[in-house]
Amino acid sequence: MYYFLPKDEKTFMHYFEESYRYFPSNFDNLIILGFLYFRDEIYEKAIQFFELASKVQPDNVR
Amino acid sequence: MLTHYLDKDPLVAFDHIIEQIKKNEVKDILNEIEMAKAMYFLKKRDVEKTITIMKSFENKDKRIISKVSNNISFLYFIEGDIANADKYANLALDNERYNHKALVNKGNIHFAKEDLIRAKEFYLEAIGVQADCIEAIYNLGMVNIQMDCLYEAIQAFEKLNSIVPNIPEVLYKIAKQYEIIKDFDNAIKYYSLLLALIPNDPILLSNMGSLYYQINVSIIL
Repeated sequence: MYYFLPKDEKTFMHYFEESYRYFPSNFDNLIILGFLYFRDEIYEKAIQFFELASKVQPDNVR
Repeated sequence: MLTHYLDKDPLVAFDHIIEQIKKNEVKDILNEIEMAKAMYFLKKRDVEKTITIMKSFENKDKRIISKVSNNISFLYFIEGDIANADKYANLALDNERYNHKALVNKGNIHFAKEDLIRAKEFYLEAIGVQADCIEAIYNLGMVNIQMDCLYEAIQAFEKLNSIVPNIPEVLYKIAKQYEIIKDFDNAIKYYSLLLALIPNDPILLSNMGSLYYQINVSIIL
């Protein structure tokens, strides 16, 4: 069905983390990473990314 | 002999060559030299002088008139003078209907005027004249995106990719259109090809992550 779907369903995390590595101040990416860690109940990491996002765009209420 | 002139000013050298050609009546290459002189001014960003030289071509044979008119049209186009660009594009096409570059130029003018249907017609005509005219195929893809004909846009860009493979812009366009129509398989395929060319692009990596996430969510749902 999805020929490129990897066995590890967390592949998307790899790409978001890689993106973060090359562009650590990308607000959208920080929010996504925060949300994904929050969803997986890894709250320390989620807070870390949301805090970084709030530093990048302090006025953004999202 | 020329180095003596080139040391002073390339323009003097051009004039000297043109004078010698006229004296010796080797008129076959005269147009080429005058065109080179015009291009010299263009590189110096002196558009007015370029246009003056090109206008001196206007009384020569039809194919040259077409080429020169097309060049003048393009100059006006990049200066944003669409009315004059249109005038010279028409002149180029009147003198040689099957000049694919003039057809692309005319298509661009319609595109700038937001007449997308006419633009598309001209790009298709240019492709009809020269099947591997990459400018026409790329612009056809772009106009199809503007007209929301995404399948046709993909078709155009995939054709372009088969003629000149692995151009990042083209691969991105194909991947993006597949992403929009939610064909995630093909979107990932083309993003992967693109990532092989540009492995460190953070936006691309983020897009890949987003696609894999959407696939996972759609499977879970």
